[in-house]
Amino acid sequence: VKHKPLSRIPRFEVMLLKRGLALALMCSVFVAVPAVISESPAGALSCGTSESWFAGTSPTPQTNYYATTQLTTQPVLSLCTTETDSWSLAWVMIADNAGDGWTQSGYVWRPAYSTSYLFAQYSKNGSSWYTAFYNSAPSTAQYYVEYDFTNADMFMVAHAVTLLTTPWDPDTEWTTPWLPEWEGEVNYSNNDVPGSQSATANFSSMGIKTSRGGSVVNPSGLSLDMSTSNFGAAWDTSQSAFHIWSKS
Amino acid sequence: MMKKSRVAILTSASAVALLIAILIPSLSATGSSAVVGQYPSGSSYAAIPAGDTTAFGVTLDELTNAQLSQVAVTTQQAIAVANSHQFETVPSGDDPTVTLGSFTDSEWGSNGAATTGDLVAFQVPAFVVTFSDVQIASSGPNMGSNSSPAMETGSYSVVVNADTGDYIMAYAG
Repeated sequence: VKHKPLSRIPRFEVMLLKRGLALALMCSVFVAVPAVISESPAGALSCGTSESWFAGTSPTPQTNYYATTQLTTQPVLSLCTTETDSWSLAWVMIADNAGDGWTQSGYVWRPAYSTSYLFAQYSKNGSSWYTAFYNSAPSTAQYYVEYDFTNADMFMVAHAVTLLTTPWDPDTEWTTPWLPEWEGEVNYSNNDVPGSQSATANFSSMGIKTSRGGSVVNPSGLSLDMSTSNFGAAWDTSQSAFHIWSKS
Repeated sequence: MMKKSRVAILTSASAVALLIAILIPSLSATGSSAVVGQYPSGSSYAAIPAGDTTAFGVTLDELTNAQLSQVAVTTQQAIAVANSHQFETVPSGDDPTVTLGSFTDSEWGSNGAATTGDLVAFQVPAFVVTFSDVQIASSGPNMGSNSSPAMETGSYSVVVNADTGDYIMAYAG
């Protein structure tokens, strides 16, 4: 097949050829761009290693029967999808002095959902655990766990709803003094805790009760601790309010 | 004489048989509707395991006739709602067990909790959709080491309002 030199092709045909090429180019852009864009949601985000990473208060034993906080609900910058159990949490907790058992309430992000959900979990000794999930977490809510001296159990409250109550007595099952704790937590190294540098997740009105019927006071001796340099945590008011975030 | 008494005996026996044939179905029907009416096709009642009642404070009783009349959701619809609220890792293709009854969570309303809107969920007709062999993650305290979170195999249940089809809550253990 002989091809005519371009200069010898009539101008009208050249114009058609150019338009055809332009059209083909445009079509390829329209086809290629969505293909690139659609690859992002379909492409799984790698989870990395399975580890519990935290940003919040280090566990500090002190006499307490109640731990509370106000907590803002902030989205998570990155939540991996290659593992089905991927999550990111923010919570308040009272744990056994040895850390073997715990009671907590807070909110949880899972990758499949566009909203976070209120949750609570307890474990007597770390050998089994029980979790309850409820509605979407509001923008700000109070979370607390409290020992009930009358019924000899611990109950967990999120946004004014008691989600769980232990069917056993922490006072007889656990060693004292217990650990009050306020944390953001993830279960994979590539996950982020709630909050970003521009919109941090805020813990405020932190309080404990140190005796039966006692009033709410600030915890003491807490320091802030991050499992990775990708997380941040800073006091707003020492022992009373702090915020956490992920850097990327 | 013999013939007459034979006829009388046969007649009486037939009458008794007829009476029984008429009465037994009507008695059983009366008994059925007095206790509980007919559950919608494809649904049935089974109590929540005692362990879940202890661990989560939840119970499921038989529906009353009044509650039965409220049921507007099918079992398949309840499963669809449960599938869209999987906060634990449910094995793909897991075929859940589904029970329909009057759901109560004794936790709500205790300790002075608010009971507004969906929170008033005492004795609501509900489906409990339960998945088994679910991997349940722990989220225990920060004890200074970045160990892998402990996992256990258990069941995961989603409670779905049988009247509205709304998700109510979920629990795992």
